[in-house]
Amino acid sequence: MAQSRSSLATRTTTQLLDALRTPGNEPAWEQLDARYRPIIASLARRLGLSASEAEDAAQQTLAEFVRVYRDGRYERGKGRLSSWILGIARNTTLSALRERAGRGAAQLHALDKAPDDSVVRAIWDEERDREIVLRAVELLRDDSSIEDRTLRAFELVALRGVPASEAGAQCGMTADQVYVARSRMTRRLRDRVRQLTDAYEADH
Amino acid sequence: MPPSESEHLSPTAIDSIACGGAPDSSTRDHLRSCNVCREYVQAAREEAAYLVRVRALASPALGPEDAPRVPGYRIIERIGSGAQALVYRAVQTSTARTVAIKLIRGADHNGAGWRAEREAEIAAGLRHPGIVTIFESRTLDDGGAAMVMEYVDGTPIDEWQDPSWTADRRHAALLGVFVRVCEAIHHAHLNGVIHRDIKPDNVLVRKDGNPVVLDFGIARHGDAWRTRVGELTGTPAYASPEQVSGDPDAVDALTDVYSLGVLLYVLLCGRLPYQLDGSILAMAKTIVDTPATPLRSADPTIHKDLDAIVHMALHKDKRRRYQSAAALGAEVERFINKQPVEARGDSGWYLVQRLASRNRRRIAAVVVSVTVLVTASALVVASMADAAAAQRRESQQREQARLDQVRLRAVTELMRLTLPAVDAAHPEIGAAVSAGLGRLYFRLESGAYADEPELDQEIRRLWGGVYTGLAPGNDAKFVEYAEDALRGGLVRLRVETPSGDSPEIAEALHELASVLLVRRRLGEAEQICQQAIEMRGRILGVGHPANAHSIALRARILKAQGRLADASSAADDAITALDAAHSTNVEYVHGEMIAIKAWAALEQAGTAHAADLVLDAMRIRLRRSFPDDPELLDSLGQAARLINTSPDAALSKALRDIWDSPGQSAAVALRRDIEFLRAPSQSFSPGNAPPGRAEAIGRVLRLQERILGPNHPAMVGLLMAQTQAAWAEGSLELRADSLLRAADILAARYGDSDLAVLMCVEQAATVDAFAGRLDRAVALGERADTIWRSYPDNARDALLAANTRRILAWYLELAGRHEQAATKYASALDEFLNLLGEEHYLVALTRSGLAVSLAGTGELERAERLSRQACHIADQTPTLPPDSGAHINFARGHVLWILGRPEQARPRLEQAWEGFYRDGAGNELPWRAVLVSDMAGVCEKLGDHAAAETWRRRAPHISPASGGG
Repeated sequence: MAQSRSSLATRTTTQLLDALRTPGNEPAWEQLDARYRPIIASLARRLGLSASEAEDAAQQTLAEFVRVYRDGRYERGKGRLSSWILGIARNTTLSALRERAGRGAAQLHALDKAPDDSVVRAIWDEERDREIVLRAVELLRDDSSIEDRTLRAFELVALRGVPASEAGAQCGMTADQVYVARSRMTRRLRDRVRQLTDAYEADH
Repeated sequence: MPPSESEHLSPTAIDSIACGGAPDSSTRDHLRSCNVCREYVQAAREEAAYLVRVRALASPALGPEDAPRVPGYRIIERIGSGAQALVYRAVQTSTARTVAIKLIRGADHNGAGWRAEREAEIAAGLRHPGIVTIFESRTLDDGGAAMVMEYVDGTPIDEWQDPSWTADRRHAALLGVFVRVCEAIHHAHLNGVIHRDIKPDNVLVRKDGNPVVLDFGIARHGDAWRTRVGELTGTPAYASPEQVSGDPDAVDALTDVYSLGVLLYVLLCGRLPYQLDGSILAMAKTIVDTPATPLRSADPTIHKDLDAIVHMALHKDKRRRYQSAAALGAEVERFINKQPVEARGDSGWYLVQRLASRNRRRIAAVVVSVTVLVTASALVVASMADAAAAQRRESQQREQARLDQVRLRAVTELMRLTLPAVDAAHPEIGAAVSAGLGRLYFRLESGAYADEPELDQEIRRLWGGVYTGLAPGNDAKFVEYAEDALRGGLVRLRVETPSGDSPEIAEALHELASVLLVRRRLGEAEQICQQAIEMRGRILGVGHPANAHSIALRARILKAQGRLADASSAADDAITALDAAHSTNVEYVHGEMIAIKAWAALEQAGTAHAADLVLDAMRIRLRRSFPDDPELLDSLGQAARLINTSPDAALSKALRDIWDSPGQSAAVALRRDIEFLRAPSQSFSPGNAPPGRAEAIGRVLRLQERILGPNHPAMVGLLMAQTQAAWAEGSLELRADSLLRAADILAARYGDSDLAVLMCVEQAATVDAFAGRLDRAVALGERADTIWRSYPDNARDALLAANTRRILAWYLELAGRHEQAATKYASALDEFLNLLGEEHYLVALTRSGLAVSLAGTGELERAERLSRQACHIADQTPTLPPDSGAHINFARGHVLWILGRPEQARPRLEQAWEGFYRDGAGNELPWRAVLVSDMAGVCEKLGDHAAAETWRRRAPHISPASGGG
């Protein structure tokens, strides 16, 4: 295999797409899959599918994208990757909803230009941002250079909204120390978020 | 970060100020003089704002504070806890799959982690739909184990309930589910896994009615209940005598059988088989010594057989229990099927009781050998009705007939109430019943009860009641059952009828031939049908209507064999017999026979003769068929073939008259309908849509409605197809109407707040707005808004709900109701700001809408500011969807024009036009009227009269001003 998995995690989507052109490049596919699957599933959930239906929709969407890509129908000039995947995800989700409504008896096709397109996009963006933030938090948790109690104090005060004095008491720190830790960790979090955002965004 | 030197403020003080706390006077003085601290305050403010957004995004997915870290998974929430384990709902990050993670605590339990992992490994080998799937297990640092398994969204079996169920129906449903629990447990036993802790909490029922058994092999060896009693509130309620005796070696599959017995007991009467209280020892003693209280003393309505089954499962001596979970399940299933159960022994008297329907020989002839009660019921309805008719004809025993009707009603009532539950448990039974009802319908339609209009009517009414309670099923399964049942019945009848001939045997032969025809075993079918005809000829005489039906069946079989000439002459015989029988209502069969003759004539190219026959058959079938009746398709096929082989104006006219579709060529309409009926899911879009498809669907819908009654759920599929067809054909009104009808049907079935209903309503509203029916668009928008408001906060998608409100505001604005529009826009705007922050283009879009409404109410200053802000955001959003951009430009241009700034308004309005109506698209977009009049005004003002004239000519096809039409 040409590259290790860890190097793939930080690659931009564009680079991933290039890697996909190499036949048999499974790690690149896996990476793309891991990147978009949670977002698609959350989108499908919020549009009204149940958890298991949403998982199916994510699976179908990615399978369809792979088909499109392998057939060479995906052209970068015609729009960003995320827009392609979003488009497929939206159609997959809506037809799942419709199938449920129509008990599968007939297909209703495209609610042509539904005014909800921009809302779907907004949900997508929000879910992508959420995914990025969560991944960034996980990266901090995996960072062995960060002291456990610093991370814990940060999570309490920044992510869970616990007052600094209380968080300090739980972690054996003074409130001042908690604020200092919060600032330092917020900077790191921001860096991570920025890196991840760049990686997701550079797809055109 | 603030340094800790004493001359600067402490980090705590800085944060307090950044968060809006009032500084005291010395702090204020310090801040005034210290640049460093001022910068820190500013930085702390930014940091706080950033973290607000982070928290908003992260908190729904953060999971509980004390959640363990299981790498590769995101813990969402705790869903259960017990003495030994905590259970969490989690998401696998790599697959987005929702899973359940069970954390088995156990550092202090002597290698519990390791043991749990071993057990989990065994349990993971179990692959069964009724057993929860284990994905993986891991040992954790503290010696405990994490087990990752399928997340089951279900209800504990003892709480499983549907508000619409009667007690009887719930009973039936529970029994069906219980049988499948037994099957799952049996599967585990076959794989060497004993559950050891069967209880309602470990048996969940999914929304689709399928049970899943949890916690296989996790309970520690034999003493799960003890740990629980010691540490928590549980009781050994479901434990077997051998479990509580503390003999681990005695615990085997029969222990699970006992627990299943307790479970069944609890499900049936809602309490435990014995009263358990006092110390753990006292409880153990009760379980070992005290026999279960008879079920019927707890609830006298419970059937004796169930009592017997439960008691056999609960035998203290395990050798006298059912010897496997499968045996217990099979027994319950036999009870469901009204077969003798083993627990009752098989004394003759008992068998006679169970087969009570034997007391009417005529019915018994059909029923006895039918293995499935419900299949029988469908036949019983038919044959009872037959019996009633015969008796009334022959002996005028009106009282008897009335009793028959009461019985018919009773059977129907039984079916109506119990079958839907059975249906969930046994799809094949549901299928059989559906098919049985289908055949009963066929009998009705073929005039079997025509001579007794009152009875005919009553059966139709009851038929409708039963039919709507059932889901359509799988016909293939039914015919299989039916063949077995009929063959068994024939054997029995022949034993009972030494002479060899009887009307019942003839009827059974006829039925068997029909079934064989369906199964395409044509040679056999013809032979048996011939036997039926001959026997009926001997008993009833050739002219008897029953024989006419058998002769018609023979014609059908011959046609299926492709022997058209023979079929045609059999059809002639059948028609003669039908006429001779003076039966008043055999039109359907008549139509079919004529159609068979028509096929023969078409085959021989006798066009003129064939045309008459085709038209005759068509005339009858359009009156008598139901929409998915293959016979109707058959007639349509004949017509298409006629028209293809000999285009003939007179023929076309005749067909057109029959089909009643003025203004269209009947040939085209027919071919299209045939296409539609053959390929209902085929998709069309504007530009490639054959016109009239929506109308064709409408015809079929009307037929469907006539058969199923108004607003039957089965119509939703066709309505959706009609919506799509109407879209493809550009027919807005039809599109909205079919969406709304679908919404109403779905709402009646699933409640108004179902998402599918919401989707239909919103879509219909949009279509209405585009069609200029603004009053209704507003009403529907309000309905959608109300649906969202009926959702509890945690179930509502705030973004979608806000968008619904924004769109409602848009309809109000289009309808000229500026003030109401402004209120709705403002409320949507607040919501969007909350959810998305300042800079999102949805916020911009909503501001634009509000600006237009405010321009209408005369609040120009605010309108100007809002539209300017919107443009500002839009200009900075490269990914702005084009029509959103058009809306924002329109608002800006419109407001600027009203403010009397035509030069600035013009480019904005032009861009809006470009965005909306580029490539000649979007003629119907409702802003068009306003946009055109604005542009005309702007050009006029700027002295460009020619351009103004061009704009005026672009007036819309539909004007919002004429709204509501």
